Amino acid sequence: MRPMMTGVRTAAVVATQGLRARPLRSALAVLSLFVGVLAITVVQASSTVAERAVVSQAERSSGHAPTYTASFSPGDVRTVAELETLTRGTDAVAVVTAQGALGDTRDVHDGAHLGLELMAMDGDIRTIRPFRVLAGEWLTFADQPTLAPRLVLNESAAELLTDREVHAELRIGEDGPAPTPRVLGVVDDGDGQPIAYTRLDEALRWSPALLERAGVTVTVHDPGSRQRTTMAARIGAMELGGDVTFARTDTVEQQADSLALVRTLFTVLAGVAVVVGTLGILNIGLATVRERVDELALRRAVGAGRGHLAGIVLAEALLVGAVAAAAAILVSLLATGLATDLLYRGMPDGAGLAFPGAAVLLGTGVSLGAALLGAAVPAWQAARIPIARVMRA
Amino acid sequence: MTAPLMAMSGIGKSLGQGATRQRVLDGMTVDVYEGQSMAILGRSGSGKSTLLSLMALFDSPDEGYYELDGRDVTRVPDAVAARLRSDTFGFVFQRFYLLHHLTAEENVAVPLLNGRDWTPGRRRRERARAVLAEVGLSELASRYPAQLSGGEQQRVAIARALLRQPRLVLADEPVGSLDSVTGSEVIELLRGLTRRGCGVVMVTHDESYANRMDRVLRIADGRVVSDGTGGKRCGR
Repeated sequence: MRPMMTGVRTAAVVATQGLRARPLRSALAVLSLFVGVLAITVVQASSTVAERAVVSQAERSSGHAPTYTASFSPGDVRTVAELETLTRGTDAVAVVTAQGALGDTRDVHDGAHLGLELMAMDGDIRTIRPFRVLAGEWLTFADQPTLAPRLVLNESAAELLTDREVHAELRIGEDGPAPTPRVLGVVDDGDGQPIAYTRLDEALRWSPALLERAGVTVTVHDPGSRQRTTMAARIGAMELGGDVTFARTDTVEQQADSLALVRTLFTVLAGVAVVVGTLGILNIGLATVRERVDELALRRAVGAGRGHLAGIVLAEALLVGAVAAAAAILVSLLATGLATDLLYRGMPDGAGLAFPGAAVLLGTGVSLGAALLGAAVPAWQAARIPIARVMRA
Repeated sequence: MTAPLMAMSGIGKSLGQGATRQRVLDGMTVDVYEGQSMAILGRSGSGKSTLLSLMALFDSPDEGYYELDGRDVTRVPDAVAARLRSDTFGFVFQRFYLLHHLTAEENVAVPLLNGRDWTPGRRRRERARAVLAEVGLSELASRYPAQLSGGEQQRVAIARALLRQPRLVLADEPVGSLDSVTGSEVIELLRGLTRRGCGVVMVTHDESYANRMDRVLRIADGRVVSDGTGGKRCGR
C-alpha cells in the first residue's frame, strides 16, 4: 500500500508540473470534458429538481401514490353515521364538497362576495395530500368543534379575499345562517380554484343538511389493498347500484414517467457530449505523450518504471477530470439554482429542491471516468516508450 | 584489489531486424570499478553507445554475462532494472535532457520523482540546491533551461545525475554539444566525482577528452581493441 501511495503522490506532482507546463493544452483538455460533464450534471440536477417539484405539486392536488378515491353523488351518503360506517377502521378521509361563499351573497354588487368550494373533512386530508402551509396554520381535528367555523383557504381563495373587502360571513348553499368564520391560514393545495377547507363537524353545525345536497369523496392512501377492499364491501352493502367504485389516481406516476422519459432523452444527449469530451482527452493525451516522449524516456532512465509513466499520464487526466468536474458542478449549481428560483419560486425548503447530491457524485464520477478512459491509450503508449531514446544512437 | 562494481564478459548484441540486422557488440569484456573514471573511446558506429545502454540496463545483451555489484543482471525484469538504475547509476546525456518547463532546481529533483520513494517538496528543493551548489550553480537554481548556457545546462544535468548519490555516473558524449573550453570544464567536473568515490564511465569519440580519464577503453567494430590508463593504451 505504501509503495502505491508513493507512486500516486509522485505521479500527482509530475502530473501537476506537466499541466502547468502546457496551460493552453490543459485548459483545452478541461474544456473538452467540462461541456459533457456540465450537460450530465445539469440534466441530472434539473430533472431531479423538476421531478421533485412536479411530484410535490401533483401530490398536493392528487395525493401520495397510490391514492384511491370513491365519489358519491349528493344523497348517496346522507348522514355522518353512514360516513363513519363506511370509513371506520381505515385511514380514509371523507370530504364533503359544497358551494359556499364568503361575504354577503344577497348583495349583488361586484366584489360583495366571493364564491368558493367548501371542502368539509372528517379527518386530516393532509395525510394524503401534503398541502403546504403558506401562512397561519392548518386545521386541527383532535379538539372539539367551535361555534365559529374555522377555515383554511387555498392560495386562490386567499388572493381573491385579499383583493376584495367582503363581509365576514360564510354561507353554505343558498340559505341558512351566515356564521362569521375564522380564517386560520393559507395553504398551497395545488388547485387553481378558490377553495376553503373546514372540519365537517363544524360545517354541519351551520348546515345540518349539508350531506343531503353535497357530493362526498372518500380518499384513501392504500399501498396495499386491504382498506379499499373493506370499504368496497361496505359500499356494496349500501346498495347504490354499483356506480361507486374506487378509482386510482395516477397523476404522480404519470408525471414521474413523463419526466423520466425527458430525463432519459437529455441524458443520452449529454452522454454524447461526454463521449466527445473523452475523445478530446484521448486526442490531447496522444499529442501530449508524443510531445513528451523524451521526458518520459528520461524519467525511465532515472528509475521510473513503466507503470509509473502510465500513472503520470493517468494522474494528469484525473487532475483534468477533477477540475472539469468542479467547474461543471459549480456552473450547474448556479444554473440549477437560478432556474429553480425562477420556475419554482416560493416552494418550501423541505420540498427537496436543493441541488441533489447525486448530481455531484454523478458529475464527478463521469468526469473522472471519462478522463481515465480517454487517457488509457496515451498511458499505455507512455509505458511503452523505449528507454534508449535518451541515447544518441 | 576490490571487486569490480560492474563486470561484463563475452557480451554480444545485434540491432535491427531481418536483412538490416547488424552485430554491434561482439564478445566484449569490461570491468568497471567504483571511484574510477573510464572513457569508452571509439568512432561513430563502433558500438560504444550500445555498450553504455547495456551497462545502464536500458537493454539486455543477446549473449554474455553481466554482473552488477556481484549480482547477475544479464537479463532482469524491467521493474528490477528500473530500481537498479535508480539506486546505482546517474546519467548524463549529450543533449542534456533538461525539461524545459522546469527550473534548474526542479530538473535536478527529477530522479526523486521516479515513484520509488517519497521526498516532500521542501526536502526535494534542499537536496537539489545542495547538488547545484556542488556544481557551482546555486545562483541559477530558479532559472529555466532556456535561460542557461550549454555548459550550465550540462552542469545542471550532472547535478541531476548526482542527486541520488550514485555509485557510477554513465555519461554519453557529455561534451559533444559544448565548445572546447566548456567541454574541458565539464570533463574536470566529471573527473572530480571520482574523488568522492563515484565511478564515471564516459562515452566519447574525442581522444583528448578520453585521455583525461583514469582509464581509456578503445573499441572498434564491437570489440575492445585496447584498455589502458589515460594516454597509455595497451593493445589486446
